Order: sequence, then C-alpha cells, then structure tokens
Amino acid sequence: MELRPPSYFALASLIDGPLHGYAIMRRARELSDGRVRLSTGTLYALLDRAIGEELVTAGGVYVQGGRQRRDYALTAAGRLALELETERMASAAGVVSARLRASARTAPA
Amino acid sequence: MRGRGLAQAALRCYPPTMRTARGAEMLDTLLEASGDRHGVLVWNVLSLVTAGLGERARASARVSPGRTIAEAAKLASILYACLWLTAGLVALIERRGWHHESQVSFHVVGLLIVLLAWSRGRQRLAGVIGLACTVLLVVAYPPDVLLPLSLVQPILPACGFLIMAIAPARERPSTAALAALAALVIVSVIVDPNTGGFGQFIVLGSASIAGLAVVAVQPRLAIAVAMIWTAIGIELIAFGGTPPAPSKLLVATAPAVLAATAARARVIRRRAI
Repeated sequence: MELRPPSYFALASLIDGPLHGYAIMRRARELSDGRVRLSTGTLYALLDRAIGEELVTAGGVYVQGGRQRRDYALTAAGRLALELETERMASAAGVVSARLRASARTAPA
Repeated sequence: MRGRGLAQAALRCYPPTMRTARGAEMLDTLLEASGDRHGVLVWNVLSLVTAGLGERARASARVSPGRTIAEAAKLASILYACLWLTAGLVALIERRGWHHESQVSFHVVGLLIVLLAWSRGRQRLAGVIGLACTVLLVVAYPPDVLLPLSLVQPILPACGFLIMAIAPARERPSTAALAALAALVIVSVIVDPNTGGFGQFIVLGSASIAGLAVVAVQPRLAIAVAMIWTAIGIELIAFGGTPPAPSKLLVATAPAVLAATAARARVIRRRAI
C-alpha cells in the first residue's frame, strides 16, 4: 500500500504513542520539517481511511481544556505499512542517488 | 464565534453519520489549529468543505452499482410524478378540454400522496400508489394530454415505483431537496401557460442542472435524469420517423452517465491513503 506524504507523516507521528487530532497535526509538521501542513479536513479524511484499513484505531471521546478530543493509535498493520513505505522510499532514493553519482563521475567537466 | 459558525456550516458537507460521530471533535481541532489567524481558519474551513464532499463521494462509491441504479430508478419515478403533477395542475387550472375533470383531480391527489409518502420515508406506500397512478394514466387518458411524451415513458416510472414497493428504503429526502422540488413544480405550473406548455421541461431541465452539479458527489440524481432523457430519446426514435442525431444523443445519455459514474467509483475506491 502506497502512502502519500500527509498520511505517511500522520502515521509516523503516532509511532511514539497515541495522539489526538491537533497533536497529530503539530507532530507531522515537526517530523517533516514544516513540509507537511495538515489541514483539519485532510487530517480527518486520512484518519478515517486509515481506520478503515485498520492501520489506526480510535479511542473514546474525552474532554480536555473544554475541547472534545479522541486519541488515535497506530496498529501493528499500521506500523508494518510505515516500515514498508520507508523501505520503498529508501530503496528508490538509493537507486536514484547511485545513478546521480555515476552520472556525475562520467559527465564531462 | 464567526469562525465557529463558518466551520459548523462547512461540516454540513459531510455525510450526517460522520458529522454526528466526529463533528464536535473536528470542530474543536479546527478552532485549536486555527487560533486567531484568519487565513489559517479559512484554509481549514475550505479543507473541511473539500474533505466533506470527498467523503460523500466515497460513500456513494461504496454503494453497489445495482443498488445505485435501483435508487436512481426510484428517483426517476419521483421526477415523473412531479412532471405529471405539473401537467395535471396546469390542466386543472386551465380547464384544458378535460371531459373527466374528477379523474384528473383524483390523479393529482394520488400523485400528491405519492410525493408526501416518499418525503416521509414511506416508500412502499409511495410505490404502490405511484404504480396505481401510472396505470391510471396509461389506461384513462390519451397520451397527448397528461403524457405528452406518449406511452414509452410510463415504463421507467413503473419500474421505479415497483422497486419502491418491493424494496423500500427507510431513507428520507432532505428538507432542502423537498423545498426545491416543491418550488420547481409551483414555478413550472405558474409559467407553463406563458411558455407554450413547457412547464414539464422546466422541471426536467432544472433537475438535469442539479444532477450535473452534484454528480461528482452523489450521482443518483444525474443517473435518474439521464434515464428520463434516454426514455425520451427512445420515444423520439420509435415514433419520430427518421431518427435525428439529437435523439441518438439523448438515448446515449443514461449509458454515458452510468459509465462515467462506474469509472469514477473505481478511481475513488483505488485511491491511495
């Protein structure tokens, strides 16, 4: 299963433990060095699909600071999907890096 | 407070089930993420609109093709009921050569009951009375009076009403859809005499525009309207002598809309997370 960058970083934000929606948005931004800025609509759309694919589970609703929240946790299948996607990207990056290096060595000065 | 109102309005783009389950949580997340930054708030609200419409599209893509077509046929029969109601009301108001005025009144009352039952989610009742109205229409009236498009037309609504009677759904139409339909019939009845009897085409044309507007999110109305245009096309070819190109185009409407809907559903289902 291929994960798009917003989903990849949203799932990655759950590696260290369950987080609520707004915390996922902040953590995904941190992990991606600000490249991925999740909007509320995107976040809940991808969480909904991830729950449907059993990559994430949703906890019960609770209120914190007057705001309604729910924690989301990564499942074993979600962790596996993240690992596979990471390997796929690393492998693709490795191939392209090798080609770029080879091309730089053979290129005329 | 204005931001909350905007976000709540945007949440209405989501299907009701999701809005009930996650609406409050999404609203609080949006307000927390936006803070007092107006630009971020607008960006988040717009994202709710697109994601909500996308969620509706995914929900309609999950429905099987058979059920989608059956529901569209039901909707087509309701649109026919509106077309017949328009024609019946115009005939009653204008006293347009009716020898059996009581029968017309009976038919109009029957159609009103069909629409009322459908609006209350009583599809079985709507289907049975709708079937009776269709039979009454075919048996009792000359095709060029209440049914200007002749006898090919009742086949489609008969199928739709039959499906309603056999496999009723508990689904109730939205208040907005009902209000729009009622307004359309009233306007068509009022303007019909001034448009040379084209009141029914105003109903059909408006429904077509509405169907096109929401086809990406909910294709049911577009399929229903396309079925009616296809039936009209078949009618024109069958009874119109030499089949002109527009008639063939009309016949192709329903197959084209169905093919586009199926292709879109496939794309939505396969989309990566």
